[in-house]
Amino acid sequence: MSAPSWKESLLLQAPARLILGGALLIAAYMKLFDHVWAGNDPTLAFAEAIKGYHLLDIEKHHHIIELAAYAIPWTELLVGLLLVAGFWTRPAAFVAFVMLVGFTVANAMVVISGENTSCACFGDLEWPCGDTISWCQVARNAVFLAMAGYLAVRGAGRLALEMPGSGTKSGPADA
Amino acid sequence: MTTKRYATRRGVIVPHLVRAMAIVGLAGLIGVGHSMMRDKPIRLVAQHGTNYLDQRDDNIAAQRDRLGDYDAGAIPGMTPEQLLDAPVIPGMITLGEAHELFEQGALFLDARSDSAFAEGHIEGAVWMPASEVLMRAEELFAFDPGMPVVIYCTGGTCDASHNVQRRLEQYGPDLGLVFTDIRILGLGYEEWKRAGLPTSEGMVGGDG
Repeated sequence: MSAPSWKESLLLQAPARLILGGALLIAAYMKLFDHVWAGNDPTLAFAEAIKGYHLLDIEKHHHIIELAAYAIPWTELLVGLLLVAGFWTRPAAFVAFVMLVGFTVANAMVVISGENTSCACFGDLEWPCGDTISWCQVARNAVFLAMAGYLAVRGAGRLALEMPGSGTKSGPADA
Repeated sequence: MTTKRYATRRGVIVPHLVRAMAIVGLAGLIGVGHSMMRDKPIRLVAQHGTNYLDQRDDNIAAQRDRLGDYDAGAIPGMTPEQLLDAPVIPGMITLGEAHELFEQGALFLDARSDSAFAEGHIEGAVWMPASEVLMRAEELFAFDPGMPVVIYCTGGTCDASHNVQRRLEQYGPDLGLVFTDIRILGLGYEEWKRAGLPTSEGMVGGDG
């Protein structure tokens, strides 16, 4: 695979990293620290939101919901930081891709089932979508999914910590 | 693909997968640390319709005491007039009392599922299951906190209303919602409808 050019880095890779990474950082912040949106317990609010998807039986699988409520925001935070910094970009983008596949499928299942459920993806910053899950959230996730897939394949590009010759192997040097 | 090219590609992909697993593992460890720092466990409220009594006491005799004069078996055969005064579980309000509060302009909260709410709800009620209280609290800001709040679900031993009440009491002060008079309707929406009291359909509530 050819190494990314400066043009590709400037027009595609850097914007994709900043937009996707920034979105993940906002999502993580709202789930971990935003007490305005979630009362005095953001983690509980996020767990309630996961439960609201009705994809798991709370009597049998509440431990999975609790695990996800703790793990997802921190994963979003780490992946967001790595993408914005442009370090370990491909692994981070791969993790984002897998997460987004899960989110997209979950959102689509909620829309198809006709449930009226809060997304809780970005707290109360659901732009350009509304609070309730709709095809808008599915489409928004699909855009992020495309960015994550692109970055997982092409890497960080040249405007990143892992520029060619910086010593890390996940940059364009090994593409 | 030649063996050499396959080995080269694998040599590129495997380190990335290892790093991806390291990212997930580190996030998981931080999540574990986060959970250990909490001073209270996550207590998810039960799904709609979970039995109010079963969760509190396995002793059937004690459960019967909690029921008081409430007799679920008698309710289907009651006339609309009888329903208004039908005995309810102690601590809850009768249909007649709820109707009086309705006439006075009390806020009604529907704790059932969204599909049940869309099929029909008490006129003017706001859809507010326990799992949505934190997310939808702002819908309640328009209401006078001094007015009575009546929460209902499917009636009888349905636990959903109590879950909403607990959430409002637990998080209301932080959210700026301090309702001082919260009541639980002892019967459910179906009995309200059978009694010929006002109802609406669709997801938009708070229209009464």
